[in-house]
Amino acid sequence: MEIGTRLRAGLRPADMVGLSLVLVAVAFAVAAPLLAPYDPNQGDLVNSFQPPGTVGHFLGTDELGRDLWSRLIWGARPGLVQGVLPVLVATLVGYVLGIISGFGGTVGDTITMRVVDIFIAIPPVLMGIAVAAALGPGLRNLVIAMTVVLIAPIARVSRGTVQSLKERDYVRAARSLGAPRWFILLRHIVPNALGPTLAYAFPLVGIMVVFGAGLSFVGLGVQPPTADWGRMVNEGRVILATAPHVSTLPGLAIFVVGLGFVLVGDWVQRLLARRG
Amino acid sequence: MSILEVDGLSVHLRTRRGLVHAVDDVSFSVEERETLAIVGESGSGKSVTARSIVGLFPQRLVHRRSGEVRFLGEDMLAASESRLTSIRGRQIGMVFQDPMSSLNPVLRVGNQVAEPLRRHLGMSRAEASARAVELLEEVRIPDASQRVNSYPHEFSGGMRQRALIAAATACRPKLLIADEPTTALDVTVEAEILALLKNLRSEHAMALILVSHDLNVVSNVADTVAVMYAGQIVEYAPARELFARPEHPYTEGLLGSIPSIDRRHPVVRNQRLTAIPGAPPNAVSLPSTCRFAERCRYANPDDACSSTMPALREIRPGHWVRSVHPAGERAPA
Repeated sequence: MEIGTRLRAGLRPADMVGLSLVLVAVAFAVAAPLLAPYDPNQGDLVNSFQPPGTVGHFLGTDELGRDLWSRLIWGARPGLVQGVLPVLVATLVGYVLGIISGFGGTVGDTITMRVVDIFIAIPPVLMGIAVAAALGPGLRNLVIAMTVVLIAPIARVSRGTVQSLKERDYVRAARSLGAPRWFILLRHIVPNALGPTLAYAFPLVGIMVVFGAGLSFVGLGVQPPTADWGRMVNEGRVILATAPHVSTLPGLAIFVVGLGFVLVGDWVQRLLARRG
Repeated sequence: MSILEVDGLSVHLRTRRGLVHAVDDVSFSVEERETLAIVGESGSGKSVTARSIVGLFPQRLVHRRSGEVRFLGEDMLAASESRLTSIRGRQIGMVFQDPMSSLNPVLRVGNQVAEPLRRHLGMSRAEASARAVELLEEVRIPDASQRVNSYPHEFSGGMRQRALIAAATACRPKLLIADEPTTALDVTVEAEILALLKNLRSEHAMALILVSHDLNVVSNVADTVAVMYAGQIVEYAPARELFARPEHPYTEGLLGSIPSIDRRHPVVRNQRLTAIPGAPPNAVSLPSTCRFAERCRYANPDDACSSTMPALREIRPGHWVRSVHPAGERAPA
C-alpha cells in the first residue's frame, strides 16, 4: 500500500482534531509576524486591561496594554520549541543510550541503567527547576533542563525494547546464517527498536508543552518581555479577579496545543503499533 | 566420511530453578548425505544438542560444556565466535521451529534470503538478488521474481519456512540442521516442507539433522534415528531398524502412542494407543539410575535399573540402546 493511503486509513476523528490543532499552532509559530496585528511587546498603557471584544483588540489587552491576540500568536514559538525540541533531542540521546545499554555488555548496561535509575528517582518538576536554576533562566536552558528530564525514561524504554528484540527468532535465525554482531545490531535491532521508542516519545510532546509552560510559569523559561504562554499565565495571575482573560486565554492555548499533541501522539502510537 | 562427530557432549545450563543437565554424554556422528533424526519430547535436550553444534546458545546460560563436536575435523566447541560466524550459514545451515517470527518484519524477504550470499560468497547486491529469485524458485515459491520484493507478512507460514530454508541453504552448506521445522505448520504444509528438505538434501548432497518430537515426521525422512530422553540418547539405530524392532521401552512407548492408519506395525497392530504413564524426571535433580525406570513397565525395584545407570550398548550391529530391559532380551511373557 502507498504510504499516504496507509496513514489516512488509520485516521479517526480525534486524530483529525489533534492534527488540526497542531497544524494551526505550527502555522501561528511560523507566520507570527504576518498574522499578528500588533507588535506583541509594544505596550500601550492608555489601553491596558481592555476586555475581549474591544474594537481593534478582539481578545483584549494585558496590564501593559499589549494586544493579547498578538502575544498568543507569538507565544506559539516558545510553546512549540518547549514541546518538540526536548523530546527530539532526548529521543536521540536516549535511543543511543538504550541501544548501548541493551545490546552492549553487562558492565555498560549496569552503569547506564543505575544512572538512569537515579535520574528517574528525582521528580521531573524538581529536576527541571534544579537544572534550569543551575544554568540560569532562558529558553535554551529550559530546553536543556527538559531534555535532561526526558533522557532517562526514553533510554529505559529503548533498552527494554532492544533486550526483547535480542531474543527474537529472527535475530537467532540471522545468527544461524552467520550474521556478526554489528550486522545484527544495525540491520535487526536499530530499525526495529525505533518504532516502540518513537511510540513512547511522541505522546510526550503534548505533556512537554504543558510541562514547559509550567516551568515558564515559575520564571525559568523565556524572559520578559518576550511573549510566552506560561509566563503570560503568571503575569495575569495577580489581576485574575479584574481581568481574568489575561491569564485564562494563554492557559487555554497551552491546554489546546497540549491536547493537540497528545491526540497526534496517540495516532502515531497506533500507527507504529500496527506496523510492529 | 563423517562430516560431524559428536563425542560425549554434555551441556549444563543455568536456569532459575537450578543447574539443568540439558545434554548428558551424547555421542553420534553424521555421514555425508546422511539424515539423522534426533527425537524426543520437550526438554529432552534435543534442541540444545542441535544448537550446541553451531554454538547458538546464549553463553550466559551455559554453565559447563564438555565433550567434543567435530565438524569436518574442526573442534566447534573450541572455535572462536568469529570462526563460528563464518561457518554458520556457509557450511552449516539452520532452520527453526517458528517461521512466523523467524523473518525480520521490516525487511523484504528477498534481502533476507540474499544476505548470506553477500556475506559468505561476496556476491554483489545485484548478483545476490538475482540468485535469491532462483533460490526461492528452488523452494517452490510461486512467482518468485515478484515475491522476492514482498515483506514477510505477505507470506503464509509455509512460504516463510520455505524462504527460511532457501536462506539456510543459499550457500550450499554441508549440513542443514532443522530444529522442529514443521511443528508450527499444519499437516499438509508439513508434508510439503519435509518433501522439500528431502529434495534439497539429495540435490545438494547435504547432510541433515532433523530435530523433532514427532516420530511420524522422522519416519519418512531419516536414515538414522537418535531417541533422546532426559538429556541422554536412549536408543540410536538406523531408522528402518528402529521402527521395525524398537528395543528401548521408551521408544516402544512412543511408537505405541502414534495413531496410524497403517496398522501393520508390530507395536501398533491390534492395540489401542498406549500412553506412557508418568512424566520425565525433573532435569534439575536427575536420578543417578536409569532415568526412564520410574515410567518403565519392565523395571522393577530389584533390578539393575534402580541401582545403576545403564550404559549405551550395541545390541545389534549399529543398534544402540540404553536399557536393562531391551525388547530383544526380555523373557517372553
